[in-house]
Amino acid sequence: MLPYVFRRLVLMVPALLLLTVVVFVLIRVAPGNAAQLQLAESGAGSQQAIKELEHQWHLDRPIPVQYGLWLRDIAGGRFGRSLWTGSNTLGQVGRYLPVTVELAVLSVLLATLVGVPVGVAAAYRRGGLTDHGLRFASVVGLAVPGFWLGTMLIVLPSVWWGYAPPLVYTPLWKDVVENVKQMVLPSAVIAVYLAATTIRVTRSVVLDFLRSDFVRTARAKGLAGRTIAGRHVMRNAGVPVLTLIGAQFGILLGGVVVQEQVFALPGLGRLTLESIVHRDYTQVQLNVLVFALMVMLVNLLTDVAYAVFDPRIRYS
Amino acid sequence: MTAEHEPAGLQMVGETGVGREALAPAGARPSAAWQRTLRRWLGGVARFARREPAGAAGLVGLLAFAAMAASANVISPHDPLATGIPLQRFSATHPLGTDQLGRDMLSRIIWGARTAMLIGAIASAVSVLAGLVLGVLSGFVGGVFDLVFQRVVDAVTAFPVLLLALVVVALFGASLPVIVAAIALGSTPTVIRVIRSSTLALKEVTFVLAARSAGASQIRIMWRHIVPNVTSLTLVFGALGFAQAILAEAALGYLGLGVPPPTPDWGSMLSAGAINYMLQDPWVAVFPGVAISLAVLFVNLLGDALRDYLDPSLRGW
Repeated sequence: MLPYVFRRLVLMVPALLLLTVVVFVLIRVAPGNAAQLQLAESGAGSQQAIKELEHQWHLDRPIPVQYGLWLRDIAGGRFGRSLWTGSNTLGQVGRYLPVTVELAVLSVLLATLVGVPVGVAAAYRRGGLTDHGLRFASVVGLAVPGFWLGTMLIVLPSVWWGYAPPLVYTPLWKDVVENVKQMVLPSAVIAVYLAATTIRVTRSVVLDFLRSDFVRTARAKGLAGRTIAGRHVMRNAGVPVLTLIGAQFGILLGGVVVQEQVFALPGLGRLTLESIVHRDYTQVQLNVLVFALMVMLVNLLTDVAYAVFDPRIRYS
Repeated sequence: MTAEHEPAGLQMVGETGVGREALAPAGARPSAAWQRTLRRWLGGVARFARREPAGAAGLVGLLAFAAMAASANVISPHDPLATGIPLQRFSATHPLGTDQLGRDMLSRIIWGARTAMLIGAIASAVSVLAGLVLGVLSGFVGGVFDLVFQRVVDAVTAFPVLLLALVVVALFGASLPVIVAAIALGSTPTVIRVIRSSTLALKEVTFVLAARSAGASQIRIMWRHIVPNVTSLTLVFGALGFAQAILAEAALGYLGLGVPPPTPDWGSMLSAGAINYMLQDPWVAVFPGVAISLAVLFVNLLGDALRDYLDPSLRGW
């Protein structure tokens, strides 16, 4: 297992390098640069000043050289300062990341808590009205755009009861209740898509197990239906569902980014979008790296968990 | 990577239709060949409808949306850009009311279908075609090319699809080609992966080995033996990708990164800037969302049914 994990970690490096190269080039090729935008803001945008700033930030060097410099800094643990706010980029990530992580974790929890039991119920009642209803609900859940659902969840309570969600974000460590009140709606919206997929996968997996030999044997032994459901079906269904959630993590993060916009939450997606608008090269580059690392590590974790929970799976 | 389900994809695709052709009247003129083809197609569609009623419903719904998009200039009751009295409720002249600038909602929804269908169709076609070509090549050629290319795929998939689209559009400005490219860029790697793993499996199948020993060229094997056998998979991904593309395009529009205003677009009709008007009149927010959901729902129903119909081994996913 350890050599496998190590090899996977090694394989991450070229992928990350490629991704950073692409982003590095794209953001510099795109019209408008950090120096121009910075000075246009302060109104001191003389050609001379722009040139000086560009020189200071090495923007006058060829892109490969700039990349080399950046790589050297990153390797040395120097993530640099934001070109827009001047604050430490790593510090910024530290400030904005918790919201993103909390949203992701909460929505996975919600989706699993709802999706797995509902999927099992649908499988047990296959062909019945409940099954058809639940399947239809999950297809609808996949079709409804998250940003619309989020918008409606802000608009309708406000119109009906005059309720507006708090505008200022409260961190988890300041006030748990206040924080969860803010996070629960966006997480629920993100969870809809994930729960819909979870329901579908759980249902089909459980159906497979219900037809399997070992469940038939268990039934023939005279085990109670509940025991079979708990010991034989649910325990085995965990693995595919886990894989699904791991595989959907990228989509999940996309949903998180959108909901950060809808509910005006200071998360990493919001920071990234703002940084792109300001052509804040250093911040965008670091954020991209953080997002990619998150996805890759979650994928790796999923695969490892896969092998741990299911001893039949061995990675060579 | 995550253990991907190996798509079977091994059965020959489609019906040969030999039986039906044999049933055609013996004296049929050669010029009626297209009629037989048409009948075969219709027979295929009818069989699909019988076996997958939900998919047929999706197909009908999708065709309705497509027709709406194609004939937007004919059927829309008003000019979608003409302004008037804002935030009107339903009336005979404005069946769905008007938006914050007094533009007719129904007309904007109808014209919005054109934007959504166009971008969705082009983006999914691009990603499926690119995925097919690159996936088959990567799986078939193998070697260093495959190794390097798969790292590129890893790199792109390591980034949330929607965020990738956001980055690209935010950098290069919202125009049709940029939006299409941004959406296709994010969705292609998944197609490449699946087609590649399917190709790897096909490479070792007897009829491919037979073709190789008979001296068929690499290109001929790819074109005549591999590609036809991954077509069903491609079709399924095309349908599911279409739904994803509509959703992505709407999300971009919502974030102010969709097709530039005033072009009617479902996503931008819901954009954050309109929230104050939505608070005054929630109906402004209801209809575009319903339109997006319905369109995606129909396409998904069709895609699911196609998958079950063409490749039963994937049923339920």
